[in-house]
Amino acid sequence: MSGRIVWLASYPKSGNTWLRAVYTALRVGQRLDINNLDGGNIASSRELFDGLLGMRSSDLTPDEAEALRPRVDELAAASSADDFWRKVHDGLYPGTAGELIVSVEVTRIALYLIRDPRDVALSLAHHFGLPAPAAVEMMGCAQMAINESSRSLLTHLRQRLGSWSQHVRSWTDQCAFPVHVVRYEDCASDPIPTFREAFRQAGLDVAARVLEDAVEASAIARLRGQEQREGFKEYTVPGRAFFGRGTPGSWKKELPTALARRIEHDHGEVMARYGYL
Amino acid sequence: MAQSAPLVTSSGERARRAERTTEEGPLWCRGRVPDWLPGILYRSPLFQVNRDSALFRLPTVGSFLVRPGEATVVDVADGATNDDVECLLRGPVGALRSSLAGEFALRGSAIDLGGRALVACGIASGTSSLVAALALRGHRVLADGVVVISGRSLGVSTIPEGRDCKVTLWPDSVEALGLDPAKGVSIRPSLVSRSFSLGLPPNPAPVLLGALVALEVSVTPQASGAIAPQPMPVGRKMKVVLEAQWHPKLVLAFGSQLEHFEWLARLAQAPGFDLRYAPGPASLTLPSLIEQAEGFLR
Repeated sequence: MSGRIVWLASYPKSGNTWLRAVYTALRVGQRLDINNLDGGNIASSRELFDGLLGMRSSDLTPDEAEALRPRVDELAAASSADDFWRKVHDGLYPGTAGELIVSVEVTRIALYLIRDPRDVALSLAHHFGLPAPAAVEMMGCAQMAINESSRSLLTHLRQRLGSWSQHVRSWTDQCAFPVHVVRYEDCASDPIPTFREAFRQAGLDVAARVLEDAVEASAIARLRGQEQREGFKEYTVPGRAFFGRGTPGSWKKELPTALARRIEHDHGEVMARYGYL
Repeated sequence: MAQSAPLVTSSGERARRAERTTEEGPLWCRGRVPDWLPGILYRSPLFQVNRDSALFRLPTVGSFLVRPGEATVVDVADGATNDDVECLLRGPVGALRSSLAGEFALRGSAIDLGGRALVACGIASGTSSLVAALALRGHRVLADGVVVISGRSLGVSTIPEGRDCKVTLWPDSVEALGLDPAKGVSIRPSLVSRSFSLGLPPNPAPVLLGALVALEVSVTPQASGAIAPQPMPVGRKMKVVLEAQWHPKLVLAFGSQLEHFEWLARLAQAPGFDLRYAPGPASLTLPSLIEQAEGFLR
């Protein structure tokens, strides 16, 4: 009997690492180490792909590697007796062979984190060193992919994002396996019931007091401080911090009005569905 | 390595004859390959093995039947080229052949530094770039991709399919090393990486293992260039080796746990180093880092 996967799915910069930090803090409390977070074997990890499949992904085209990723999930699940968490940024799209990017067979549930795309745009711009308009373009691009390089061998395989709206819909509108949507803003304003319900959906019943300690141990300010002292291995852009302030609604002061309107125009339907308009 | 006269395929592409040869005979030939092997001992999404053969399949390239002492038979998929086939022969298929022969191999790169082998492990961490940089200083490349380490003698060599000992590099590394991209050979038509012949001519004789080095990009905020190498404790060395090993599940399938344990025990005694460096291929060509790598075996 093998374990199944709880996917922590999100468009980039939507709170995925924060959720993993809270989950890890349930186990380790104040000893939380951002360079040793649970769920860190991201679905697009080249190291995991090569190690489990017995194949050098660098010998494959991105399409060939994508077609094999569900098999990697199945091998990972077969080597685990219990359910385990894995991070994923890919949109839930089918590959060239018609199969979804993750294995349906070994998926228990997806916890899909969603964040106001206007705040995502600001965070994306900082993360990738882009001007804000370019980040907004990126979020509106149906062909958008990350970790796809024609110059370097990256540590991740290609991750197809699509547009922000397409990404959200790909995970939340599908019927292949259960999905529970977690709003970043609810995590910030009402963390205990929000995280508690997310964990319950994933099969984990956590007492409120235990969760309070975990939330406190994984506060954004603490994560930021640790990154400044020790670095963050999941992020290697020199000179840039991964953990920002994380304050919901920052866009109101920091995002130019024209760009906010552009995002609302591009993604209004999905924004309205999740309470952002 | 003898090569037959080139053929023009139906698509007009000039290609070498399928039977690329060494002094031991052809490495591969085209032919029919069964869908299943009898008496399967282990099966993965890409390959199956029984006592004396292995079957590897990548639908876009073809099916490969491997038997020790014989040329690999390849049922080439429509649209796949000889380069596609040989890329896989030098990688996972060649590693399967070494497993069938009772050998253990690592994913990594190896170079002869003054008569002893430095084996570099890591995925997308610059092992090929490091070996290329060392080769440009006049050392001999031993392997890039499948590094066979003999269980008895700890002699380091490569698989027959990889004996041309070219190093595969991506464009950023080619640029950082100051190489002419036009001198590189295509790995597969659909890939941008290219292989280069660097350093001294290849020599198939094994070279005794001198040291293992695990390459890793450093995340510490102060990282710049190369960071002083750290000796690897035995536990860490075993972790590196096991994570780098080609086809580890075949140890159980073939019942070679005792030989594997002895191999690990010998490897545990070899020097090992963690070498961390700041992000970017330019770091791997820094003289300070190259000198440190050479210094492991002084």
